Amino acid sequence: MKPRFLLPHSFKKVGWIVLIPSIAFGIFVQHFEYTISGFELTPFFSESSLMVAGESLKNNLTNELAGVLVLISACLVAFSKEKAEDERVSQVRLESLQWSVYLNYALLLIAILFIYNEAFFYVMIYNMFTILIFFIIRFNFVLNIKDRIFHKAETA
Amino acid sequence: MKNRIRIERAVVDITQETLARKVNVSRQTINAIEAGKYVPSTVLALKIANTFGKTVEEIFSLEDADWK
Repeated sequence: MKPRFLLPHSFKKVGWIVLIPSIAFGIFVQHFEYTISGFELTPFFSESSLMVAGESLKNNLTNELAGVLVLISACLVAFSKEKAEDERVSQVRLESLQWSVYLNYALLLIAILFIYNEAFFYVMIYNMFTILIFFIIRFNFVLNIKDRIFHKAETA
Repeated sequence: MKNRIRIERAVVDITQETLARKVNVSRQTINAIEAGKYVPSTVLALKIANTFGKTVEEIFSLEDADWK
């Protein structure tokens, strides 16, 4: 199966450079309710619909910025070609996608059953990104790290 | 599935890297095939056999487990 609909390899480095700080930024924004002062936009809908789970998000766009940065950079990392694409890389990519969807929904199921109210709001926010994150972790682990750990990589 | 790639490589004295470049895959893929961790596609198996001047059956053989 030849890889289709993948970005050129050059996008991957850009993706990583943006992704790591974006994740840190996102977690920071989420837990410390950090906002960039004055970074606001006139709301398109009424004030009342902006009160979510008891937290007033008002119309500050800092969390939106964090979300967009993480989402786009994670897509860049996940969906750009490897330096050397061959059939095994395609197979690992497909397996990793399946694995990450399974893992994501298994964790979500557990979260739905055991986490409630305001805490679940955080679950929902992280769940938006975990499919991609799990995929990125597993894909790169299998391709680059797994064999080195188990001393299977031969240099000859 | 068993394969004799490592033996054939030793016979003609080429590295995994050289074989990989010849059949247009990565060295890790050749390593994974030799270790029995990855089953190559038909085309790739044909290319590998062709590189050694042999047929596919001379390089790759089925095991009982493959029939399950």
